[in-house]
Amino acid sequence: MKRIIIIGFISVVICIFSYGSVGALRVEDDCKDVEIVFARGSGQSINATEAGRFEGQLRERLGSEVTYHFYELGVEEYNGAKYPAVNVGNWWNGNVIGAFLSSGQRFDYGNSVAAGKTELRGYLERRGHACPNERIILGGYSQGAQVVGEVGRELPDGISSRVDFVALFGDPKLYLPEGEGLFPPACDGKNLSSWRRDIINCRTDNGVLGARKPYLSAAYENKTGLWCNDKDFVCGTSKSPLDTENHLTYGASGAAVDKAAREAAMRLKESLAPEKAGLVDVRIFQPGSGTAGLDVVFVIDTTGSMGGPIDQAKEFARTFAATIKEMRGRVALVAYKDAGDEYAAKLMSGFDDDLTDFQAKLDSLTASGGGDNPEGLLHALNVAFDGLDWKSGATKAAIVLTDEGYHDPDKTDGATEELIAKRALEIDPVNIYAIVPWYTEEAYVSLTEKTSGQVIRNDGDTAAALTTAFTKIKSRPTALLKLAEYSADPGHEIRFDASDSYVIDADITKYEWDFNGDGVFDRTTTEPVTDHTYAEKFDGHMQVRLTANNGTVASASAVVKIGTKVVPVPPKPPKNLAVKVLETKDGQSRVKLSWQLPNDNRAALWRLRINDMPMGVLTPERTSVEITDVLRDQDVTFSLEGLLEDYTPGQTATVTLEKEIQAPPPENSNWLAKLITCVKNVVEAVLGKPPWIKWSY
Amino acid sequence: MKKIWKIIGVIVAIFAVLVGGLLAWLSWEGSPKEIVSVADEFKPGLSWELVREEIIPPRNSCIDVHCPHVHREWQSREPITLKEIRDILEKTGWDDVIVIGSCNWDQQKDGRGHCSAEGDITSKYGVQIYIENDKSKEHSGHITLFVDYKNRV
Repeated sequence: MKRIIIIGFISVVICIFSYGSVGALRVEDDCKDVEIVFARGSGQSINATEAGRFEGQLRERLGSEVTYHFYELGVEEYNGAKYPAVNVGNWWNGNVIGAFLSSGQRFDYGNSVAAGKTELRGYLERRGHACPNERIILGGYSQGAQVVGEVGRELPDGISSRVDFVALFGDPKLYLPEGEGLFPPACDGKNLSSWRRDIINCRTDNGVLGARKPYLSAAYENKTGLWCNDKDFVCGTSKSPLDTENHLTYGASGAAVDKAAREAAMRLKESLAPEKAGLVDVRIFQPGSGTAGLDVVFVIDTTGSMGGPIDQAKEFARTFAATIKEMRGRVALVAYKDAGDEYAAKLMSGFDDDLTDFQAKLDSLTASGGGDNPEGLLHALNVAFDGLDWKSGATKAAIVLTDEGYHDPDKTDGATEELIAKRALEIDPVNIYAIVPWYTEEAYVSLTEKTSGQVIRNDGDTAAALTTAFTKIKSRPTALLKLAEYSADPGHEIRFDASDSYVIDADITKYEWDFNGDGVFDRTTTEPVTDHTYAEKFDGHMQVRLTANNGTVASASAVVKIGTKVVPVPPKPPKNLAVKVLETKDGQSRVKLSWQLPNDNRAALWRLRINDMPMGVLTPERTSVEITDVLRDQDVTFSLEGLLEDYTPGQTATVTLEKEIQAPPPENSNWLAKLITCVKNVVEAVLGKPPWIKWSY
Repeated sequence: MKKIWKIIGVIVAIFAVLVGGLLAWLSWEGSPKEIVSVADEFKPGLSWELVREEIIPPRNSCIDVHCPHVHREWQSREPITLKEIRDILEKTGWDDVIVIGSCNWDQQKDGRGHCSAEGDITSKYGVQIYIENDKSKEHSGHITLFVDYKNRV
């Protein structure tokens, strides 16, 4: 007994000394006004692009008077855990498959997430205790977004209440309930999740590792922003595993991280003491261009009378490269004359952010030909619209440089002003800016207005007129709609929301709505949101035109599909779904899941998921099922959804079985045991649990 | 019966080749020489000490980790001045890299100052540079350099 006491005493002393020898932990740094914590993505090093940008952007906004402390997960160990952010880029280490098969909850990937959560919780609890007045901003990218998203529900109230904003980028556990089903309710633009940011695809519902349901605890729903770039396989805006390029652009200039930093700053402005709040900078720094930059095509009349303006345009092109780069822009060039000339219109240079080819082609332009006064502009615009690779998400403009009017209809391809306006809208839209002399200004008013562009008078100084055009493009509002496509049945109200739009150093004063894309604006509002009901079938585009008090306009468009598909009525969820533990042994339980059939049950099958992994289907008359070997080392979520005969899913009923605290199982250090465990998990994931195999090692 | 086994064998072989091919494609790593040579154009100050370097080669599958990518960090005993960073960029020939902020630690109460620089450096690559000055630290200057595909900068 005496020996045990002595050993125990020595152990305690060793522990105390070893704890003290850790050195200065970051958690013990001086208290500041704001605590910022970021969790990196899989395989990233500390201070990688997203983390560095997040801190840098917030630093810019807080200035030097509002102090902050930055901690990145994985720098130090807290609560015995240090976030390793295991790599999923190496296809031979099994992390990708392990993450995929376990919905990101088990194997090395799941352990990495668990370590991150433990570290984050430990760090925030200690820091929160030491610095009770700090406001907290959390951020996470990819695997780190999963860590930060999951830990929210585990933080004590004392910490949670001080968290002002949580920024999640490219979360593989994304969940947008409004995007579920074959015809998702999100497509009517209503009831979008409060955490949804810049996710324009109404069909996005879950990330590559399945959805975390519920995605956030109630306390975090209104203070979380989730960004998922278009065509990002990881967070689920694309289902193609090849679409990973956009997963790497969250930290680009003006992209999601920058936007999140601004939103975090806005929240801090509300929560900090007034003398500090006033110092927080919440101005918009983003360039006046869309989420994917700016596409500008120069459409230049090269008929005989244009010699002077073309030479001036060449000179101007050499000086505006910096402006294009600043706006994350690409430029293209189309030259045109008229039907019967050497060429009617030709694409000289495609979109490129490197202006070398553009300038070379511009230098090669010479003015010649041209018979009657009007020229073939409408054909040239058609060439630009159809021949160029316009970037999705970019704001788009066509700058027309001419000294004459245009044939309507065009003599080459019969294009009309109406058709061009419609085509411009379909592309997303392309705003047409016409740089013309005073005597032909009137001829361009209709075309530019229909495309939400403007006429700019050329008084002989073409370079000055081009500068004016660019200034307008640069200072115009950036028009953004919440969704790229809306769909519903006739008679169903749709909500169009342009509240993400912004303008730098000015205010948006007017929103004009054209619900059927005919160029006639049907409603004008001062608010960025409006509802509209289509009485009949419609398959086309709508647009919203924004006017700012700096004299500029811009527009955004979206696809609208009304009643163009037969919408099946999805089955109702089962009622009163409940789970009962029948027996627990060695950390595994046998449970009974029971439910009641809904009235008017349309389900042809019930699909059962455990922790989001599909486990199989049950016949429609079933009202219970027994499940064995349910691992209790974490909360287990059972969900049941009805399926129609064509597998169209209905709403889901969910019940959660809380984890059972138990002693940790012995570590499988034997490589053979690990291998057998891995094979077992793969086989069971593919085949279910074959009764004829007994796993032992 | 023999024929069935043959067919199964062929199917298994095709499947194995496809899976193997896919894994080989996913595991491919190119040479980072090009991006490293671009990053090497940035000549750090003589007194700067390299404290971190990460070079990721081009790959067919990049999830989370940017590839190709160069990440370097230096520290210096003295804070970095705006002039110093501008001179380095000028010598490097990165004319399109724009410096944001003033780096001026000496005008701040807490002795900290920051600035950054970003822009395109070739038709393919862009750069982000972060400078953190903190007079209270033994190494007052900290410089982080990222070279990446330009759409990610």
